[in-house]
Amino acid sequence: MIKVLEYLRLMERGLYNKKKRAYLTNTKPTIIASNCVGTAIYDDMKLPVCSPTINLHMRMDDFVRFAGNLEWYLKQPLRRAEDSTVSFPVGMLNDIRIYFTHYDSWEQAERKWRLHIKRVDLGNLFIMGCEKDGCTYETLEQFERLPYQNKVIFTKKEYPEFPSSFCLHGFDVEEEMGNLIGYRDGFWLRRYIDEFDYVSFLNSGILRRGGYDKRTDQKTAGDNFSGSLR
Amino acid sequence: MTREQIRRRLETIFQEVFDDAKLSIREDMTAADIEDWDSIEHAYLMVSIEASFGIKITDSMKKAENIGEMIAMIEKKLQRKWGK
Repeated sequence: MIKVLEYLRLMERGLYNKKKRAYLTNTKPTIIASNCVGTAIYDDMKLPVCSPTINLHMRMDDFVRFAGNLEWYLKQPLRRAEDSTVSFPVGMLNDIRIYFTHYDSWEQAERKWRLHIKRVDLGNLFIMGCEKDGCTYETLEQFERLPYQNKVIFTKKEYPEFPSSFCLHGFDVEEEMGNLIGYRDGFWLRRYIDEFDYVSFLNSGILRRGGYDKRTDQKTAGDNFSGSLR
Repeated sequence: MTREQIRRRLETIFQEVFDDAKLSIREDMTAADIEDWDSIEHAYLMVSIEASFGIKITDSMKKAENIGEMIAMIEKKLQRKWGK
């Protein structure tokens, strides 16, 4: 019985992603993300990866500097950094420290970085940050000043003064935001990030809510992708 | 387009996707034979094949077990496209 329910959940998750994909018109976006959020979107939407920021994370202050001078940083050589406190490869891109969280070796991380850089489309850029990994109020201010039209920073509370911020519920009592690609409690498999209608964001840069909505009792099934404006 | 022509064009696509000009493909090759061929690169590979051959890749094609199967599926798609 448990196996049947698990199968049902996985099937439903597949249909949920498929339904989202049907609305997606931007099929080759370059998502520059500070953590694995971009990777999960590429994966769930079965999109071709056109970004080097895959399976890795950076501190938010580093990320803002990186995104702020993206073209220049993408031309810098990636060098290996020693870090005995972590079990995954770490690299330095000039003064930016990159944690290759989901890579088995430095060689693999470096090779993939080079491979993915070649696919970057600066004319189809989407910047995604997160209020974690050392993100302060000042970092949010700096993020807001980044010269990109399509940018969003996920936050644990509302910041009306920052139009690029988007509050994801579920981390209100946490010291900082947790894993945004993890699944929320509940029968149906919904990631925290699913609260954000990233299909509309990738299609037209609009920031609005997707499926999950606190006001409708954490609705998870039959999600409305047209959503309501924030 | 003959099977060999499809194979050669596919080889060019593989070389571009995996950024390896020396990459040579064989029909019995699978993802295990190409270092960077994982699920992440697979999506890029499929989009590149679609663009190059002007065909729509279906779910069954995404699950091709090896390059030979991939070529056979492309061949079939092209035959349908050109009404052969």
